[in-house]
Amino acid sequence: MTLNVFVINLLNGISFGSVLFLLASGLSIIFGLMGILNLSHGALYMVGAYVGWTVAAKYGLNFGLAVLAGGLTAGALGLFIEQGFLRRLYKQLNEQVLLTFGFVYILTNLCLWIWGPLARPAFTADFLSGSFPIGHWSYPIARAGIIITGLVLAVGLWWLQNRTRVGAIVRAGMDDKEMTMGLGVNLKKVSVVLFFVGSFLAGFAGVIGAQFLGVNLEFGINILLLALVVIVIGGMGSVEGTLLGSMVIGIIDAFGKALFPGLAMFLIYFVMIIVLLVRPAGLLGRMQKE
Amino acid sequence: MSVVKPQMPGQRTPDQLVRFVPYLVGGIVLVALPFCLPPYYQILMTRVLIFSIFAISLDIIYGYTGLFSLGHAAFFGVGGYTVGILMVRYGIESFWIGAPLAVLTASLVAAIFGIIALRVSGIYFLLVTFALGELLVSLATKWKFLSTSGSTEGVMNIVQPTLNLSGFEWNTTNFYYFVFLIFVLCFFILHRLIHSPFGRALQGIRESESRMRALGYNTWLYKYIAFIAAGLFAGVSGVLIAYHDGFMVPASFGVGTSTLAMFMVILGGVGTLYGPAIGSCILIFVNFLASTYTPERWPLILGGFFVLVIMYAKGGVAVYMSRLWQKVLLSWKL
Amino acid sequence: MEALKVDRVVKDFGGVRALRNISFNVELGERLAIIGPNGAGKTTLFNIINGQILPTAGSVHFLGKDITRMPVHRRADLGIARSFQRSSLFSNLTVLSNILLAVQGTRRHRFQMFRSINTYRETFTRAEELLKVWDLWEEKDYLASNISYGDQRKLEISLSLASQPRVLLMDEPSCGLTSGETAVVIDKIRGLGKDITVILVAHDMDLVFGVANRIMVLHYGEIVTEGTPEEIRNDSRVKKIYMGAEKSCQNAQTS
Repeated sequence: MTLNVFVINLLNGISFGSVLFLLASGLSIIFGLMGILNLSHGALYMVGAYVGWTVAAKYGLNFGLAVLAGGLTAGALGLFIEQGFLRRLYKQLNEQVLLTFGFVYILTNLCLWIWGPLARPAFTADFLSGSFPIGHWSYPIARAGIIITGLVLAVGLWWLQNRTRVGAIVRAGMDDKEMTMGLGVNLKKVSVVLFFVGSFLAGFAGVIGAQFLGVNLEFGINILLLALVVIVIGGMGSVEGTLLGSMVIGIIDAFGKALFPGLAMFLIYFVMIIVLLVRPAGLLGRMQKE
Repeated sequence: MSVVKPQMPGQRTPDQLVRFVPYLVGGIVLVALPFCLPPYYQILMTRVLIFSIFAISLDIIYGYTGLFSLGHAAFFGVGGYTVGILMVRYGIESFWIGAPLAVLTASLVAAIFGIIALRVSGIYFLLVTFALGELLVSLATKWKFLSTSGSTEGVMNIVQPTLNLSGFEWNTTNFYYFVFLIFVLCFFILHRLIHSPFGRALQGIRESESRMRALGYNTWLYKYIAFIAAGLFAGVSGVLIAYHDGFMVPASFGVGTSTLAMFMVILGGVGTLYGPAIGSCILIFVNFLASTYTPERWPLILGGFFVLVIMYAKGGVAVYMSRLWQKVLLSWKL
Repeated sequence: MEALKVDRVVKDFGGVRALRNISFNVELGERLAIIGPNGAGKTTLFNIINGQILPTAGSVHFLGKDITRMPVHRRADLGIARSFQRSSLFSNLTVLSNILLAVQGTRRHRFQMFRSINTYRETFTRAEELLKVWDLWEEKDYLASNISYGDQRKLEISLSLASQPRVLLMDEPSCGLTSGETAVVIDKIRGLGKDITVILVAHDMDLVFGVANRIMVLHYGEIVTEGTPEEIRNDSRVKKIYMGAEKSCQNAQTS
C-alpha cells in the first residue's frame, strides 16, 4: 500500500469515525445518565438524514439549515419518546429498552411511508463539494469538514465533561444518582435536556454522515449496531472512550474495505469479541455501578 | 411474572391436579384443530407452534433467568441453516440425521456465544448478543457457502425431511401433528426444567444474583447452562421453520427475528411458559391480518402494538388468563 | 485454630484508602461485633471477607485455609454466610421459595434439572424448620416483597443461616427494626449454637451489647481498639469517636 493510499484510507477512517463519534456520544450520554439504552438512536440518525436530505437536496436550501433541521427533528422525536413514554416506565430498564426498539419499527416504517423505499445518494453543501489538495493528491472537502466537526465536538464534549459544572453533575449522576439528587441537583431536568441533546446529536450525525453515506432505510439497525460496537469497544461513560471506540471502528472499516473487501464488518466484530474477552468494560470504560 | 410456587411434598390434593386442566384443554384444542380449520389455517397454526418453541426458549433466559438478549435468533438461524445446508448441499434428507446435527450445531454456537456474552451483564449483555446475532447475518450474507442458489442469499429449496417410515407422505395436516408432537415434547422438557432445583435457581439469579452467590451458587455456570439450553431449543424451532417455510435467509439470524421472539414473550407473558405460546399465536395471526390488508404498514402496526403492550399490559396476556383461571377455580369451589 | 484470620488487609478505591492494615482473628464460637461511625470501612471489610471485593493487599484465612482470592460462591460452600444490610431477598418469589433456594444452595441436587423440586423432602423439612424458628411459617406463601419490613429482615437472616454456616457475617441485622423486633433478633442470635461463629456489624448498641463477647472499633479504615463490652463501654476514645458522628444504619451507604 502506497503512502498515498494509506493516508487516504486513514482519513476516510477518521471521517467515518467522526460520524460514529457524533452518534455514539449521544447514545452514551443518554445511557450514562439515565441508564436507558435508546435503541431508536439509529432510527433518529436515519430520520435526521432524511429530513436533512429533504431540506438540502430536495429543496436545495442551505446545508447548515439541513443539518439543523435534521438535528432538531431527531431531538424533538427523542424528546417525544422520552416524555410521552419512557418517563412513564420509571426504573423499568428492560421495558424502556424494548420500547425504544418498538420505535425503531415505527420510525423506519414512517420513513418508508414518507420517503419511499429508494435510498438517497450522498449530498452536501456546494461549498463543501469537490476536493482540496494534500501534497500530491486530493481529498474531498466534505470529509475533511466532517473530521473537523468531529474534532470540535470531541473537544467541546470533553470540556463540558471535565471542566464545567454540568459535566460534573453528569459524572456524579452516573456514579451515584441518589447522592447527586440529595445534593439538590435537579437531575430530572438535566436528564431531559441531555436526552434532547443526545437525540439532536443523532440527527445531526445523520445529516453530516449523509455527505458520504447517503440515506437509506437500513440505517435504523446498521448504524445502531456500529454505535453499539463503538460503545462496547471504547467503554461507556466517557468522551475519551467513545472517541477511541469510534476511531478504532472507523479505521478498521476503512482499511478493512481497502484490504479485504467484504470482510470489514467481520474485522470489526472480531475486534469487539477480543475486547470483550480481554477487557469487558471496554478499553476506557467506567462500568456503571450495578 | 409467574411465581412458581412449591407445594409442600405429600400434598397431592385436587388443587395440584386441577392445575393441569388448562394444559389438557389447550392440548385437546390443538389436537382437534385440523378437523375444524381449513388447510391454510393449519399452516398458520403450525407456524404458531414453531414460533412458540422459539419464544418459550427465549423466556427461559429472559423471563426466568433475567438475561436480556437480543440475539437469540442466532441459534434459530443456525438450526435452520444447518438442516438446510445438509439437505441442499449434501443431500442429507433424513430427519433422524439432519435434525439432531442441526440442534447440536445450534447448541455449540450457543456454547461459544455464551462464553463471550456472559463476560458482561445488563446492557452490555444486550449489546453483545445483538452484535453476535448480526455477525451471523453478515456471515450468512457474505459467505458463499451459505447461499445455495447463486445470486439469492440464503438456503432455498428445503424440502420436508424423510422420516424413513414406509409409505409416509407429507401433507399439511400430518406436518402439523409432527410439529405439535415436537412442541409438546419441548414444552414438557422445559416445564420440568423450570420446576426443578436448577430452574428455581435460575429464578433466584434473576431476582438477586449476588444473593445467590452468597448462598453458594456458581451463578455464571447456571447462566451458561441456561443459555445453551435456550439456544438448543431455539435451534429446534429453527429446524422446524426450515422444513416448514422451505428456505432460510440471513435475516433469520438477525435482530428483527430476535425482537419478534421478544415481542411474543412480552405480549404473552414473561416468565410463564405458556405465555410466549399465546404471544406467538396472537402475533402470527395479527401479522396474517395485516399482510392481507396493509402489508406495507405491518412494521408500523407491530411497533405500535408493541409500544402499547409495554406501556399498558406489561404482564402480557398471561396475567389476564391466570386471573380468569382463578375466577373459574373459585366458581367451581362454590 | 481461629475461625477467621484477617491479616494486614488494605483496600484502596481509586485514590481513597478505605481500609488500612486491618489485622484480627476471630475464634471459633466467638461473637465479635465491629462498630464504628459511617464510612469507617465496616461493610468494605465484610465484602472482603465474604468475597464480593478483593483486597488491595493482605490475606484472609478461614479455618486455616487461604480464601483471599476465592470467589464468593466457593466461600459460601466452605461455610461463610452473610446477611446484607439492605435486604437482599428474592422479591418476586414466595417466602418459602426464598428459603428453599437458600437451603438448596449447599445441597448436591442444586443442579438437578428434571426432578421437580417437590420431591426433595429433606430440603422442605429444613426449610420448614427455619421458617418456624423465625416465625415466618404463617407467611410462607406470601411474596417476599409483600411481607412487613421486620419480617423481611428476619427472612434475610434466616436465609443466611440456611446453609448451617461455620461463620456468619451479619451486616446491620436490626437495621430499621423497632426495639421490640430488635429484641427478637437479639434473642434468636443468642440462641445460635457454639458451632457457629458470628461477626456482627451494627450501630444499634442494644444489639451489640446484647450479643457480643468482644467488640472491635473501626474508624477511618483502621482498628482503633478492641476488647470486651465492658472495656469498650468505658473507653473514652470510643466515646469521642461517636460524639457527633452519624449513628444510624439508615444513612449508611458505605460504612
